[in-house]
Amino acid sequence: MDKELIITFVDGIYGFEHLNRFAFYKRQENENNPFNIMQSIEDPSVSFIVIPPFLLDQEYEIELEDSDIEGLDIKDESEVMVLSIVSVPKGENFFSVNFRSPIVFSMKSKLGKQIILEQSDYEIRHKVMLADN
Amino acid sequence: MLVLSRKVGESLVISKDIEIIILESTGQTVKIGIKAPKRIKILRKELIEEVSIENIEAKVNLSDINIDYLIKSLIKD
Repeated sequence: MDKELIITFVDGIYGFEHLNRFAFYKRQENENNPFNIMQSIEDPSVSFIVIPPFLLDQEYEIELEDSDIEGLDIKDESEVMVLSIVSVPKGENFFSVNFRSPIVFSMKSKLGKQIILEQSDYEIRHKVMLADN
Repeated sequence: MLVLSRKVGESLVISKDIEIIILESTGQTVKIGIKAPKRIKILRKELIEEVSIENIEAKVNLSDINIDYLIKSLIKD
């Protein structure tokens, strides 16, 4: 991924429909760090941790609908980036990863969207146990 | 809001290209069929609400994030 990438979400993301532009970047350059930050340009106080879901489930796959391919102006599979939002609930021994509604964007068109997989068994909260401190 | 009564087997049409058909009704549950062009996205509302809540709960303060801890948790797996 580029050092800093700005993606336009025409519809925002769910719960933040008014925020249309997000920057994606690594907080620390470390080869072992698969986590990116997704930060709103319009309201920098709105940030998320995101991770490629494939890193947690090698068989993870989604099928994009024609309307999404068109809407994001995707010409080739190689330009597509899929990321899942990570949630770290306070006081729990796990964090969760949203497999059910990934953030999808084109590295070329710089257009993105949060897609809800209606017919899918993927969980909104795919749990990963936290390491012991 | 427009309110209509329909019987099983009856349908209604929205615009020209969306048709909603009542297939079955048992107790509190109504089974409906929807014919619509592929570009029309159909989602259950509670799923949208659940994803919205999850996003709101996932919002983080950049100063609070401990990425190293998360990385450590991944490696452990």
